[in-house]
Amino acid sequence: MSYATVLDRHPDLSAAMARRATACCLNFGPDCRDEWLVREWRRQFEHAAQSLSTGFSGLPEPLDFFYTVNTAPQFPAGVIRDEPVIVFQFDTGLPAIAYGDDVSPTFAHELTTFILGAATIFKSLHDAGFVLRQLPLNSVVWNRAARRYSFREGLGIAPIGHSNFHPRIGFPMIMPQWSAPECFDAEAEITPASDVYALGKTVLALLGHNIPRTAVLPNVHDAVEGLERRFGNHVPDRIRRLLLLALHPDPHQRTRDMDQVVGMLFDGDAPVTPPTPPLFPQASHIATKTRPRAPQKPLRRGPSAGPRGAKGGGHDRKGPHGGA
Amino acid sequence: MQGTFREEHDQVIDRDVRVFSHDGREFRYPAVLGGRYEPVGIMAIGGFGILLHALHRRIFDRHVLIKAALVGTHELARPRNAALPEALQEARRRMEHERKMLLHGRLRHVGAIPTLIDWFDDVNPTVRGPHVDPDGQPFTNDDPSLWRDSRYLVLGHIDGVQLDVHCRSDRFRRAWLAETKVLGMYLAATLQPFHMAKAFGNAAIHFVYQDLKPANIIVTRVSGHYHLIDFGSFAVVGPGGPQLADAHTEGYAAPERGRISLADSCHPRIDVYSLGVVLSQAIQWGSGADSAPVDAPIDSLPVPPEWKTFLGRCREPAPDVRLQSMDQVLTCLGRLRA
Repeated sequence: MSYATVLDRHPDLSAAMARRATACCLNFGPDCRDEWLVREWRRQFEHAAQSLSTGFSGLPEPLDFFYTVNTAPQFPAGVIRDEPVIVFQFDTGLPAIAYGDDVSPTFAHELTTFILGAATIFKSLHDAGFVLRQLPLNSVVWNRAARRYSFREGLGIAPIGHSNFHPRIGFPMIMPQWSAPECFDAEAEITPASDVYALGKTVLALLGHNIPRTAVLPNVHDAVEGLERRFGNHVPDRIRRLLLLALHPDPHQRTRDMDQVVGMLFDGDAPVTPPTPPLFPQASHIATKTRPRAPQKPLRRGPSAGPRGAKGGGHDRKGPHGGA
Repeated sequence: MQGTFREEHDQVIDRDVRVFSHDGREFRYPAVLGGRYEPVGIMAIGGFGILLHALHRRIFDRHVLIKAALVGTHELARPRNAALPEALQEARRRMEHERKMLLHGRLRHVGAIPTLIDWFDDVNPTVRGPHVDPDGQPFTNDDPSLWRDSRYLVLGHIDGVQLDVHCRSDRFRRAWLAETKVLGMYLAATLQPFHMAKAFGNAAIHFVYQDLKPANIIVTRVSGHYHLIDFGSFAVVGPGGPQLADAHTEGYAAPERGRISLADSCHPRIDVYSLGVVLSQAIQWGSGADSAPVDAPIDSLPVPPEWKTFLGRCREPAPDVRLQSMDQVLTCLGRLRA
């Protein structure tokens, strides 16, 4: 995706009153030679823009949507026209910046306010049947007058409960760095838990953790434990526990939705509801191109695995007492 | 959204027109406004404007609000009324002023105000009619200059309720003192950038809201965020003195508005007074009272003593003793426990 700050050239507007806006369009890179892919991505972009146009508090307000000519020289002739562009209101406010090592006495309060503000926006989306899938740290802004957080971008929006193979849901709108692993799994389902994972990553980034460019966040325990070494008691236990549960790679073992996030924020000892059973087959109401997953071969370890050294045994066939 | 509509074709304008009924009055608007907006209902009617709920046909039928100028019934009650052109001119001037104030809000980086998406001129079939004169005879205003170029503002959709309704809800009453503090912080932080004198063109100007009252504050249903509306109430204060300093509502206006001229009393502290009254009412509604008189004694409010001191300094009748700016209000509010 490409974002640009643009000026409104409305004929009624004098130069002094010209207002800024943010224009957004697809960024194809070397993939623009594939005509089918270009059409497919554009359709996904349109669906995301349509979902965002529903209007959500805390997400950017679309001002205009139009098609233009893409002048990239390597574009195939059939797709030069009809490049969709959406224009948002320029969101004023201070961008959220990762904390350094020195924290203020109100650090814990600020952190709680951040999580609560983001959770409120996510909750309104979830209630309307959408998930955002990603929350880059630089897209979060604090509006002083409104005393609330808002998000500068929202084109990762997608309907809840669909498989990632749904033609309306695209990958180009999201970045693995800020999204949950299931957003890149064709057989998985996108749920509010995906946003919980995205929020967890953003909070870690806010706390200065270097987020890798992969969907799965490795060494979550180390990262969360590292917060204690870095910030001491300034990061409350309940937030550390929340991060551990929010960043579980399995969505069924993760904090389920924003209600639970807010519950844990104010009462860290509140029991988290047991994990919901996996919904299988995933997104059965739509046609997918996948086959049912083949049953996994059980690992032959333990008492039922048979004697060591037998055919098909484990990798330790030649243990300290076996073999030649 | 209130009311339903019927659609008919206006031969003179040569457009399909939707007729909306609201409180016994009929309002007519083109079925497609400005070539891209489709009005579907009436959201609210104020003193000078009407808010239409519409669909933006170019952006996936998204919901928007369209503000149209409202002309009084008495101006439309007689054929060839000489007062009508003047009233229409005044209505257009107010719409222009509101548009500029919304743009100034964006220029001054004020958040949580309605988003001005677009503005355009189009026909206004409500002005054309048909109307009925006092003798029961139907008539229409056939002069095209009256209804041809009416100004419309397109605003972002806000699904919310007025402040008084919100303050009576369980959501507000669960933590009414903390919510009142949030409301006060929002109003003060929103009005403070408008009160600051800033260079614009060749002069430094600032703005005074003048008409702060619960009816001009909308609270969104889902997120519970506050939004100040009706930006036509702002007075513009420049080197030549205040302009448009005539908007105020009895009970919420500072006492000096009645004693000295409206222009002379146009100072940011009149907004501080109105803020004090609004917060006092929010406290009354939040603490369980069904009615909230604007002149309720501060000592009767069920709040800690430091809150009473703060509200007393906001509602001080003597303008020089009152808190002078929203900066001072923010400082005082920040120290209050809730």
